[in-house]
Amino acid sequence: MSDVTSPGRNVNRELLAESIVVMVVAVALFGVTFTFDHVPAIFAQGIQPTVFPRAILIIIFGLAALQAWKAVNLSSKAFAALKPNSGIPSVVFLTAAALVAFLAFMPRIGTFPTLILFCPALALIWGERRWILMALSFAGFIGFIYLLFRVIMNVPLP
Amino acid sequence: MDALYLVLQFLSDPYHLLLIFGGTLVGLIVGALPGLGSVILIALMLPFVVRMEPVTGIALCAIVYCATTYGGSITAILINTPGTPAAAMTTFDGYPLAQKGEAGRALGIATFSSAIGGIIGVLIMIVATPMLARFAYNFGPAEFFALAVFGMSMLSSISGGSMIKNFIGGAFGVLLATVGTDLTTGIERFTFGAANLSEGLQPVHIMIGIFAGGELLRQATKARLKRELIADGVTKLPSKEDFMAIWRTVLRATGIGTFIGILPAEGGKVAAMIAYNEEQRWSSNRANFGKGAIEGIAAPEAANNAATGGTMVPTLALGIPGGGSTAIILTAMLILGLRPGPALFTDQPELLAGIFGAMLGANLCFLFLGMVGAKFFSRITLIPTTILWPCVFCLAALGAFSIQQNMFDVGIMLFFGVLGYFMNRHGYAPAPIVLGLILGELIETTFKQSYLIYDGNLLAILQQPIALTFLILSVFGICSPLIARAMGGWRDRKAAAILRDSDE
Repeated sequence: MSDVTSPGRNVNRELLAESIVVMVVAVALFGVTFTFDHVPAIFAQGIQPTVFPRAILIIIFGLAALQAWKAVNLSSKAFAALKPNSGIPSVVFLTAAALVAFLAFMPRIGTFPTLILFCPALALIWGERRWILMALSFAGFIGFIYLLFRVIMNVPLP
Repeated sequence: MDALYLVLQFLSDPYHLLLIFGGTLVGLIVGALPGLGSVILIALMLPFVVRMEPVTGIALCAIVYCATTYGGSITAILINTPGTPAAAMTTFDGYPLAQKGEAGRALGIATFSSAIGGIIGVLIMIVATPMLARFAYNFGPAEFFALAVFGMSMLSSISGGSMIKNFIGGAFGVLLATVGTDLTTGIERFTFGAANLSEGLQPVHIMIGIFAGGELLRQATKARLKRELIADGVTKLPSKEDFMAIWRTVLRATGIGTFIGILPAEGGKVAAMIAYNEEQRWSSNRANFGKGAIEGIAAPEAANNAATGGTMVPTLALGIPGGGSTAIILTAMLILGLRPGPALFTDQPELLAGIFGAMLGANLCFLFLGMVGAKFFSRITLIPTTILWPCVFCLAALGAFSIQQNMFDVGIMLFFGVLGYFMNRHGYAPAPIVLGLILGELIETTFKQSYLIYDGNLLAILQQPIALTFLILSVFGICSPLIARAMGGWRDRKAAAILRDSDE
């Protein structure tokens, strides 16, 4: 959401928050590079393994800082054109939860039971209620998966 | 002549003809499905492609790349929803023409222009790729480093988003490429103690996650949208009058599409946009643009299909992907042990002949399938999202698992799917991340080699004429959107002044 924080200054708060998150992540990862093992100069051939990642993180930090500067110095025209970002619909969180459940179930109950549960569950979350269509489509799809991965590719699925 | 013989030899094999037919059919079906496209399809195919013979696998990727690009136009014309981003401009005139009851004519113009653009694009690719590869024969680390930087500089205009966000995305991709054991020193970086990360992140899993997983979460919010066909797609061949009206447009757009395609990181979407704008500028029929002008269908379709051949040029000759789809094709080549570049032409001539032949065959095949099967492909779009996307996710997850039979990879795919969704939501497009991921290793390796060669004096890179040229082009590439914006502002002010003067 965008807002004016002080008279005469247009601030895109969402972009500012986003830039700060990127900068914090860059700083945190920069800190992680200090945990890398040090290599004797003769083996490092002049360049320690930290040099390149640090250079990239500095670039990311610099770009995010530039973006933050732009976010707090918006022109009136650009500020007026800003549209508030709508919230994330609950269906996205439910979908993400279904994906995590897929990941958790697959090694525990097996691939095909997971598919039998997951496909209709996700369709239901998305508002599908045509049961016969779902049953026929997903049965056909799971048969296709069996044929492709087990019979043709011989992949040892969990 | 040898190359032509190899292409003909590839095309004369019944197995390859079947591959072209099957790949084109799948490509058209997927291209017609909004949300899916060449990038997601090739990403989903990767786990299967890496198990195939190199020539067959890469040729199949090239075939579906051509076919999906064209397939996107069918839905753009019939339901006002581009099947692929590259077909977005086709909706501007294709849908209005279909609304006037001339859907068959619109499909015919799109099919014909796509095939002509695609075939000419492939022919230019056949000529330009070896020439560019020969030019690259004498490249050393400094030149490749500068070339990779040039490729990254193109992120300034990719995806049509914020330049800064594109660069942050690209740099993030480069950073992802550093995860795992550093090959020079044997030190693990960003592995956080996870043994599965010591060999680095597999680009395949990131790509499947970021494209297919991210899109799945985006589609969750669109699942209730209903699509309606405004007409049954029965394609009609362009009449003599239509042909006379568009042949110049097709040639102009093909030239633009091929050139834009050859530029690293640009692709069909940008090519179609520029070709449409240029056609609107030059056409005598410009007043009808947006109302069903046939030139407005021919230009983007010829350009985006010509760009498929163009994007393959830097991919094969230099190992610098021309766009999102070619980035994944490049990954497939690397997994199959093929190193793109000048040596490919001497070591693997049959592979290149296979790619050239496959793309040529795919363009001819979709010309035929588009003419006889548009009705069927347009009906494909009516498959409910609620049925399609759970299947797409399962295919993506099992594909990610099948490569190393490891659940950790499925987790990585899922993580990047969720991350891709949130990044996309905040304007960080997936293409720059993938490009950074692909070029990351090349940038770091050549950076280190240059450091060693020039004894720590990296400014010596500027003394290499080719490297210097690429670096100057990089600066120009980064600045070009700023210059274009400044020029646009100046033009707007000038136009406003003229209007004001005329009012007075």
